[in-house]
Amino acid sequence: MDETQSRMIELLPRLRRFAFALTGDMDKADDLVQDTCERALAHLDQWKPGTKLDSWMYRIAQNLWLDQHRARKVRRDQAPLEEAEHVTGSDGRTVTESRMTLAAVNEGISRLPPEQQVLVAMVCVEGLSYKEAASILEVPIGTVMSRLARARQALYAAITEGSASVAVAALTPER
Amino acid sequence: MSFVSDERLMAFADGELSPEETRALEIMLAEDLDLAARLEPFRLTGAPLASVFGAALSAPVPERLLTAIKAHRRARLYAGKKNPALRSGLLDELFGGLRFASGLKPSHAFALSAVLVGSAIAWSATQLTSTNTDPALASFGAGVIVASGPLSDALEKMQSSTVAAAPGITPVATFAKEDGGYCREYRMTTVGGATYAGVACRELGGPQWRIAAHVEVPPTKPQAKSTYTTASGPQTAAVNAVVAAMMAGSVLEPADEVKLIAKGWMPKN
Repeated sequence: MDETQSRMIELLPRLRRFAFALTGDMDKADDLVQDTCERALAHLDQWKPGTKLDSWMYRIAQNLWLDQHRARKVRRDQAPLEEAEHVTGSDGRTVTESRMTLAAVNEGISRLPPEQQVLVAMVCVEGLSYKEAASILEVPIGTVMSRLARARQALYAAITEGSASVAVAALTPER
Repeated sequence: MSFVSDERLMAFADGELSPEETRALEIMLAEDLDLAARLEPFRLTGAPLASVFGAALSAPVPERLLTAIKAHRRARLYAGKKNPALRSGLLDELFGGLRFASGLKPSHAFALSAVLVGSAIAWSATQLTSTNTDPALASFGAGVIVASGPLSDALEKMQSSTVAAAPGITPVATFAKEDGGYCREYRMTTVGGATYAGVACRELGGPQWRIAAHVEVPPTKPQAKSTYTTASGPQTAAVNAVVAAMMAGSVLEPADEVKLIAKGWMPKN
């Protein structure tokens, strides 16, 4: 095993979290990560040593996921709906954050356009800078910021519109 | 009071502003409740959102992912497109039994290679059919392994099926290669019940199916699958890696496959 492979193994936890945010399901996330690693290893000649390996792998992962998304119209599964906690404290933040269940967040993210889902996973979940995201996606930083701001406002609205509507959405069978 | 854009508020929440800009905005936020309310969507979709997916960071990494990375050296050798020296090394590793036993009958070669290598191709068709005809399933020369006999026939003429014939050879999927030509993934089951997975590729207009990968699949209960899925398990990671490396686009539809078979694997007109 060479050094690049060792570094890929070190990156696996972060890639898994990124894929988890995209797919909303840990098994699907691992499928995506496996595809990403295999694709990366098969095309190692396209990676420029000295550039960031993690950026390159995020790019491969998001490309694969967007391809799957377009080809199959994959939709993230709804996670089992957790009991909504009705926190009646005066702190608004506590009330809102109690709605941040995997089910609610998955539902909210799945309503976003795929390109915005990728941005949310990269910046909000993985903590990449706007500049890094712009470089990976090969779009201007201003585009990243305006898309991301819209995505997060929509996501916030979806999460805070209440656990009741999330429950309805989660129980509504897909077409 | 000056207008603060959504993007700037978001950059504040994400810590992307300079210390000066951050301080200035903090003062504005303390005085302006509407502005603070506009900040909330960006705050909530920051660290609190990330924590929802945090379990993935600490969960143990599944073995299959580690294998996918660690198995790469072998897989690259199998594909061996760019480095003939490595490929030659691979042939020793994978098919060493055959080279060692090149003066022997194919069935002996199979037995030897199976012992020596553990994952060599079933060289004799008797392993599949129990007939007296004994055509080799592959021939070897100039560092290239080429399908022959029943294996070649199956790759050339059989439609892919998700239900593998046992014993026998079953193509399970066909895909276009990135540099033209086609590859087919196949399964092979011997009378003894040993199962192999492999990939064979044919250049555009080329006369032969070259074997790009061939590994033994450990015995498991076969699962009914209605659609094509790649083989699983560490032993077949190499096959999957070869497929990933060579595949251009997706698996061919049955109708396209029928056309290609009819045209002798010459695409279009």
